[in-house]
Amino acid sequence: MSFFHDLAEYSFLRTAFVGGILVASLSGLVSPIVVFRRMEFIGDGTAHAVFAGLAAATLIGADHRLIAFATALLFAFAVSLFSRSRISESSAIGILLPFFMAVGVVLFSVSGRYQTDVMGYLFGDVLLVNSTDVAITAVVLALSVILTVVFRWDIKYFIVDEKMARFYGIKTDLIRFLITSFIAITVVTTVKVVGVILTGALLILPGLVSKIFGKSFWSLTTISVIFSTGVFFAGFLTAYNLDLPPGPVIVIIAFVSFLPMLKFS
Amino acid sequence: MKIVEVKNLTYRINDFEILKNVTFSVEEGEFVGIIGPNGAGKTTLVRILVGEIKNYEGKVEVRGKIGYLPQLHQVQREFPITVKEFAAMGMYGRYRKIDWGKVRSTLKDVGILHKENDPIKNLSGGEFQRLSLARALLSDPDILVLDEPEAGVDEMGKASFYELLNRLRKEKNITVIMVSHDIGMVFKECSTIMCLNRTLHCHGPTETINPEDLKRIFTDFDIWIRGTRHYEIYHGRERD
Repeated sequence: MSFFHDLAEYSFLRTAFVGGILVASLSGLVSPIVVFRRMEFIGDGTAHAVFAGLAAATLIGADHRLIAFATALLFAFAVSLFSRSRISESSAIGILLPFFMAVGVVLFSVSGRYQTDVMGYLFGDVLLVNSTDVAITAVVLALSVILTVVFRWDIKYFIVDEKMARFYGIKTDLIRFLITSFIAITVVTTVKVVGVILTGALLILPGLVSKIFGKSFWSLTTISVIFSTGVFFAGFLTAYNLDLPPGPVIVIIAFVSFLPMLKFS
Repeated sequence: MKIVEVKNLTYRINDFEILKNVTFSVEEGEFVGIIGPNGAGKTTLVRILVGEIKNYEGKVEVRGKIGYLPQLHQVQREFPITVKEFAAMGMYGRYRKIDWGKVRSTLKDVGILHKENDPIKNLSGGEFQRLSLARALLSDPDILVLDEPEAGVDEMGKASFYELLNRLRKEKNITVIMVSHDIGMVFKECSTIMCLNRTLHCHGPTETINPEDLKRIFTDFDIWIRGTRHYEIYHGRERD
């Protein structure tokens, strides 16, 4: 069991592992909401939009997390702005996603770090996760759990019947803002682990699994978090032992694990 | 006491008048049926009454809390929420707390207590309408506004839903305003009828409504025939 030996031995590996588990828990928490509210496309779009923020942060030497988070929120805002005209939300995402990606590529090429950074952000590098990332993700996860418990009824009613939830006095705009913000934060924290291209998988697959087996809001969340952390653990272990990039291996394992569950849907 | 008062209500989208100079009032305890052809502005009027549309001209005063059953709209019925949890939305939204005893007694009132722990996806169209009614009742309404509650419900389900609605409104002293395409049922159940086709064509107690008034606003002859046939059945009048 050289992995566990190395885990005890090397602090960078422990940081990556703990950071990854926290990120997987966070995406597992958000994923059922993304799936039931049919926000899959906006989750994936946000992940791609973050690429522009990461590039801008590299260019100006600012904090990656802050700029990436701001970009994710800017993307969500731009989508809602476009959607208010006669453009559908999916068309708005379809227009804005390549635009943000293109801006990211241009900024990276100007920064002169195109080769070194782009691959890491596109496909993730869990070993880039540092102790600050771990601390931030832990705080965000704790906050997400608290808000999910406090607003559990509001979230349930927002998911099941937004129109009438608003009519009966539930602050659906606040819930929508919280959910969009947590999707953005989840994307920003997940990008280092699995990358821009693969983040969508961790936002969607755990929620789909929970949709098949969940019988209540809490079982949805529990199943999703267990699946998400489980595939992270399996993917990380496999990638470490076979000396493969962890991000793609995690996503492949998540997808392959999901396939047999389809027969229960 | 007038619980709803509407004066010179006009609503336009661009230059097109959806509602034109509509004036009426509803007395406490009335059961008002709003009928009219497609595109008459019935749902628009409902949306103004419940506060969903605000940029209208004229005066609209509603003196009481509204419970609302909207037209069929997107409900995420695959989401694993139980019947009693769904019903509690009306109470939670208004008071930020849930009294499960009251939720159960309301589910009993509408006849679906035996399904309280079932997921909502297991309900039929008729049962889901009863659940929506329970949700509205749990918000302690003075006025119930229903927009085509018969949509997606079979004939048996419709009859028992209206019977239930009439019983509950009397027991709980609730004023009901209902839009319906089922003219026969409106004549049978409602105490007052409003015929709307962008303007108000007729309005008054059910027994005073003349089928000729309906003929004037229903350009679709089949609907008119259906309406007058039911009219004859429930009032024993002869058609020309």
